[in-house]
Amino acid sequence: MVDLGDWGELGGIEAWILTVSITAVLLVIIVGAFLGVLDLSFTIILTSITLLLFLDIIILYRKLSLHRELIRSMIISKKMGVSTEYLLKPRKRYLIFELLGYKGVDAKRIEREFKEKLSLLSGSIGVGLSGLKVVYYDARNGLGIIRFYHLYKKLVLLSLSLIRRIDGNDVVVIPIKTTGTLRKAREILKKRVD
Amino acid sequence: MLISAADLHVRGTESIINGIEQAVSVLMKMGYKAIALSIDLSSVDAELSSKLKVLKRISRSEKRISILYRVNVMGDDLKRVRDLLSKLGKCRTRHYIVGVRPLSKSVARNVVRDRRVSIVYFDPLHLLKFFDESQATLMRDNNVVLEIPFHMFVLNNVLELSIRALSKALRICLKKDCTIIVTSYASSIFELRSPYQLASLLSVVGVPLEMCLPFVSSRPMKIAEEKLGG
Repeated sequence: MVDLGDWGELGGIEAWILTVSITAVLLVIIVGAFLGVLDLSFTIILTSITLLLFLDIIILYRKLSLHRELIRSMIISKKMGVSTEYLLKPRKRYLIFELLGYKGVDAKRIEREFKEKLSLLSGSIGVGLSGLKVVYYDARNGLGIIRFYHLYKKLVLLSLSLIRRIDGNDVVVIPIKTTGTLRKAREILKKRVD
Repeated sequence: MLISAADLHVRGTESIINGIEQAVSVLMKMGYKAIALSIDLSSVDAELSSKLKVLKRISRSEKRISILYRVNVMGDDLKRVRDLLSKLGKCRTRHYIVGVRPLSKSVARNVVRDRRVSIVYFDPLHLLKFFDESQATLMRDNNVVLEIPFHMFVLNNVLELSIRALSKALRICLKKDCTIIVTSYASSIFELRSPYQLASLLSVVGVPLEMCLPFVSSRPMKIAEEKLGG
């Protein structure tokens, strides 16, 4: 096993190939320099480039092995009938909502209320991981956009429906449409306002 | 994709009845095509026919959305529930849904055999206690639907219990092929919820959101169409 610090460990035949190839290249360069085939400054530059190249190979290897691990765990989860959704990279989603009732609330207050209700369902960790944020809110029309990660869509939808009152005023939050980009969400919002 | 949705349990409270215009516009904005206004029946009194007349008038006057009306019978005594149901026959019309909220196991078991009953609903505690596989089989065989009233389940003090009860009920329903619908159980305009919000209640217990959408769209619409057509 070769310990690579933050990158973890390289094990088996890959680690041996990597070590042997680094040693071989370094040996060739050093011997070349001693025999006078290569210039000293050129040797130093060549050695640094070679080391950087191998560093890159190690990083690439780590990334590939992480990817391999992910695919392996997805296959295992699928065999066991467990959802693989949580293994995916969280993607941002933008939800356009309409606030009916009392509209003169500021975005921060709405965000606090949304987070309070979400924490009822999934706790502080869920609120943190969901990435819930009110991106935009227009108090005149009561229309706004919230951002969250796609894994938390159903929890966010449910938490919106738990809101009944803001600052002692009755309100209803109606989810209108979920999009994948803020640009698209703004377009829909603009159409709705027009 | 959600085509058309129906909310089969909007409570016919004064707040809703007086602000029916506003309520209908909110419901249309949410994407509903049909709703059912309900009245709770504790005893067959003189008020019942007058209440039904009010609902009937609203149903006729409203052209933007189909309005059905529904009577809820609640009780723990089987004899009394049967008595109420038999007396209901007098004011039975075609736009009419009968929902029962059983408060005892014997009522839950027997009431589903009644042809007049279309929907059975429980509060979270009773859903956990009374809804089992035999109840689901009985309901499936008698074409009775299990209703999940949203606002009865999302109260802060029963939320944990609700999630537990829903998880159990959903598992049984999927196993026994029992029909399930989600309704808002709204008693004011501010308690009305969009179909996606209603579906999200079931999706948090493990069913994908896309699979939950028929519980608020096609299945309640089918009941509504049967009642409107028949």
